[in-house]
Amino acid sequence: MFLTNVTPNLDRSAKADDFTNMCCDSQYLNLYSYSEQFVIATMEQNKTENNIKQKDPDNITDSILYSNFDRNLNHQFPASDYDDQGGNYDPISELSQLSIDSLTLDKLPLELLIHICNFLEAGFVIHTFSKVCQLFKDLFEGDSYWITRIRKRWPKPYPPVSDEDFDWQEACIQREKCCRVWSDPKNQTESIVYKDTIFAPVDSVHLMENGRFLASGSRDRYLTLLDLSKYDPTTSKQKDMNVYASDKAHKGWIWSLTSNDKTLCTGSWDRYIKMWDLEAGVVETQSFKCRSAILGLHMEDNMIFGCGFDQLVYSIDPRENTMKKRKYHRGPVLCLAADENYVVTGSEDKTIAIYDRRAGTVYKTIQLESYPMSLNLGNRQLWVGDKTGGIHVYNTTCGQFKHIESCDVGHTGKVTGIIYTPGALFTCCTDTTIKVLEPSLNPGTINTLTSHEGEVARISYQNGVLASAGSDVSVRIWRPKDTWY
Amino acid sequence: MYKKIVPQIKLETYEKEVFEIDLDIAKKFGKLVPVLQELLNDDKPLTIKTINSGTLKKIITWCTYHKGRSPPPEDDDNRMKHSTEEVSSWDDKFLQEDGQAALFDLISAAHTLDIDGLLDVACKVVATMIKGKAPEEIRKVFNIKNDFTQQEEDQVRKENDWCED
Repeated sequence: MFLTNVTPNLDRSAKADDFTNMCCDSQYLNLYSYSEQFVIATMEQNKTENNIKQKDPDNITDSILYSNFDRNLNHQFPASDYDDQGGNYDPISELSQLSIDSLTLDKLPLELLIHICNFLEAGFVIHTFSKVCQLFKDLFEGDSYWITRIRKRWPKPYPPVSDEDFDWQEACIQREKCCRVWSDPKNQTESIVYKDTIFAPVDSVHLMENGRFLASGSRDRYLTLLDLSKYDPTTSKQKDMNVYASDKAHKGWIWSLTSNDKTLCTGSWDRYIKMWDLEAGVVETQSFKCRSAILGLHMEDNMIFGCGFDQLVYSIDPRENTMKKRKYHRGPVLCLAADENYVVTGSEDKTIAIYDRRAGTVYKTIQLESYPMSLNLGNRQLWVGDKTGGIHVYNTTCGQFKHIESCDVGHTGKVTGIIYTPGALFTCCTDTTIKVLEPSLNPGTINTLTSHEGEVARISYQNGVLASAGSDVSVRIWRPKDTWY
Repeated sequence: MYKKIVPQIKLETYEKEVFEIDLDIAKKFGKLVPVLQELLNDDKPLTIKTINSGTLKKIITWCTYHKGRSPPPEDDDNRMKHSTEEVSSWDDKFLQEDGQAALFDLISAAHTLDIDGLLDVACKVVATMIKGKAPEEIRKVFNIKNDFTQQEEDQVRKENDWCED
């Protein structure tokens, strides 16, 4: 067994047997079960990789492990020599060896090395510590270590939908970062309250360009664009951030915002969907007239999807300047999300419709008890926030849209925004709170942000930055202190 | 019959030095707990060859200092706090004062004897020594040989360049 490496060598007294047995049985596994799992998992991996033939099941564990990690075992006290020679050993020669071959970091038993690394940040282990020597690189290269590291700290099912291509290293970095930042936003983030060009409740916010720019729309009909990189925490002068602010952008409330690269797209109660070029200084490039207020938007290369109060779902090709309308809901369509295969819409008729883009038809309809307010599609999951504060998650692998779980995370109003990332799940609600939740099934709360004094209408999250739209006539931004653009 | 006022057990180290350890300290040695009764009744010391005298002395001092400060119960909240908790300045100084080799011996011994609190705090001290350093600095501080081939080194450099862009 691998454990022999750290098992104490005892005098051959009556006690020795007891002691040795103890070391080998379950006692040992209490603290280190995870590292052992890891070692076993790594061995499995190596077995297949190197195609080592297992000859003797009792001896193979050590030999595989050490042949793969190329460990020099001589650093240990030469206890085996002592055993072989049956007591004819020279303590003086051993002592001298002790002084030469005392333990160093790279010669520690692997589970102790791993234990030390558990106290280092995941990103540091991957980007720096693994670059020190071959052994460290091999230890942290595969998924095994990262899976056990995540499971040990967060035992709940993660990721919510299994994925053979899941990036466990990145997930571990993100989860640890989110946990660190959001459990202590006071010290870990710069919290910005923007009120300068806002005179009425804010309906929508949207972060773009890696969280550097923030667009917002408020009921004073103002479209505001902020450059967050211009924020100076020492002066807290908000004017410097302001790139654009105008109440001429739309003739109604700006209810929905989205973007693609450097193009911002706005949807308003004045029935228009408009495109704005940011590079040219927020210039309107195209506009499309719809039949009613636009409540939800999605934008990608050469395609915009919008949904409206008039129960319609619009698809617009800006190159051709063409617009298609489809009606498959029996109530106002409140929210919309899309990927390369599906357009998902949630309506006041208490259904979620999944539209198959290639087939050109509604492929599936999901019935809910109370109507959906917000959607998030991605990472093989569809997250839904509903009118009564409930949260639902569906498995979208291979288009199945199968219900996995509905849960109550403590919201007492309409869930107006929901965003899933591998690091955390964010929700906002008309109960004035924003919740940062664990990104697993049955999510526990990392933190509840209560700084808004009114309903929270929308949230946006990008590159670690979180922004929220408040009916308390403010836009709030939380930016981790180590953010760079 | 002679009766001890303070029950003690005897441990013999690698250097064949015999230590008498108070029972309430020996109770911290998770590995010894099941055989404590036996050890108390036996006058012959238990020999642990992988631990040298200096290290055992250190362990006894640490356990004596931390006597009565029982670790907080393990639940979800505490586990998180536990792992990020700062090392006290006493621990930091105590664990580092004899140099790196002694610290690693101590970690290995704490693991062998299954002294939970000591193992964690000592590993944290090592983690603090590693934190924030570049690979080259880590090699230097811990005297680790760079065994990457030139090709692998170039690969690493390339990846890093890409990161910085």
